[in-house]
Amino acid sequence: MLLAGRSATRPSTLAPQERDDADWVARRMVLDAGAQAARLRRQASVRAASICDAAEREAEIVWRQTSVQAAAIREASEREAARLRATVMKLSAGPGELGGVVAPVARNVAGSAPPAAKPAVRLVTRPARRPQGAPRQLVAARVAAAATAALLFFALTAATTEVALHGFAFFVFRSAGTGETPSTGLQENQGPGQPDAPRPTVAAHNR
Amino acid sequence: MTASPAGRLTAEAPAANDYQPVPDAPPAGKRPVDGHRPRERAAKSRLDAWMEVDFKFGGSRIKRKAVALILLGAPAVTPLFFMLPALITLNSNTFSVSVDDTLGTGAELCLFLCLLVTPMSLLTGQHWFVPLRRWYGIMMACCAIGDATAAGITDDFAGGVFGRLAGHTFTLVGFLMVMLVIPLLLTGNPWAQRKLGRYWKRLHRLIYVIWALLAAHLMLLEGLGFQRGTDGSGFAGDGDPAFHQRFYQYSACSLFLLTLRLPPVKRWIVARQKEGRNWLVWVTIAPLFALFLFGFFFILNEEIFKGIGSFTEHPSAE
Repeated sequence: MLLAGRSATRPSTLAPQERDDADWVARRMVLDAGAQAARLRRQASVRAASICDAAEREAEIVWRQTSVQAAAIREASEREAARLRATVMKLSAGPGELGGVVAPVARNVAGSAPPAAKPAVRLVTRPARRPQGAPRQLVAARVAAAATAALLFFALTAATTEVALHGFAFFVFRSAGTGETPSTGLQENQGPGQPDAPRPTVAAHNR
Repeated sequence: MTASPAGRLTAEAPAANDYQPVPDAPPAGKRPVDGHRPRERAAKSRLDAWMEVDFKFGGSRIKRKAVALILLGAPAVTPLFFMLPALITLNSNTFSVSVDDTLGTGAELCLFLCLLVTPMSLLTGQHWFVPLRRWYGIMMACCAIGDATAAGITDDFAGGVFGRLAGHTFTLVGFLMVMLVIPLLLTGNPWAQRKLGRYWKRLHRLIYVIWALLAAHLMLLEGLGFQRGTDGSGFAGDGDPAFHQRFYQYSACSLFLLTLRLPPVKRWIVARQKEGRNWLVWVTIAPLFALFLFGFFFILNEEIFKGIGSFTEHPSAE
């Protein structure tokens, strides 16, 4: 045993003849037990620290994997939603009763409204109606197209006015230098062979 | 007692130091619990996933993607920043001399960056930088509108504001571009995207019209020659006159962007990527990409040169 081993390796300073044997053994046992307890405490704290480190690492990995999975799920659900939206829009544009039935759903989906609380069965039982007027997106697109056309028209009108005022030749040609950056700043003509290229100094020549 | 590979505490007592955490990627052949599985290639998902991870900064968590997007998007503000001192001090000389060069060139750079996003996404298979497309587009519009406004007020052409903006061929083309960019700027937000639905994309294809008009604008501005004056863009200090000509810079950049938008080229790239031969794609497009970079750096050089002149309110005449 450990106790026996210890007592065998360490020379005892106590003379067994002078001391009570039982007392001596008890003291040695208490000392060894204390040392062993300290050693166990050290080992336990080392192990606890390594477990903590490992748990932190694991938590970090789980966090990373979860965020990746969440991104993938979000992406997939967005794709799915887009596909469903496209299908519903296609159905709503279709002819006959089906178009009328799906149109309210299509309006909801196109406007990115939250999913209808009422079940689809309710919609099917509703009398088929043709959508009133153009879809909202088409109206918005027409407004955008009209605004763009107005802006272009404005630019072309300004140009036509200028041509009418100054003539076509003025519109197409310009005299040399007109509209060019005026030469009031630095001129980049210091390259090799150019007028302001640096010349070798006398000191450099004599060297 | 120690931790098992799964992180649970068990009664056995193996050494705690040989703890092995679970691998980063899910086990091969095992589907995620929710049944959704990203279809991207490994390289794409790895970098995209890396960008999605957030880190602690000042008590809050920030995604790496956000930091990368800010770092890549911030330079787009530079042209406006260059003109700020002249705007604050109302320095009409700086405006009349170099606003066209600083803001106009800045708008051109932003347009190319905006157009670069889609081909780069196709080539690399990554999507984390796609939000930059909108940002560069917005900055392009701001630079272009600022350029037109300043040119209309401070340029030395005959006529009033509209005479300066529409009195000559190249100014008219520039004016048309600005008029087209206004609806794109106004609808470049999620609200307008929702309102316009599928028509939004159709409207925003106007960017290609603007791209084409830019060619006409630059050609009419400087012609096709290299000389100084109305037939060229000034001295070429480095002895390379062609790439100091704005139309050739534009052509060098546009060739790459246009080629990667052609449907057969896109199909070919996708097919090679599916075969796992992405290297072949890169080798094939490398010359075009190099040409793009070459032209782009000349434009960037011009922007920095003119911009610093504008910022110090000593505008360059070149």
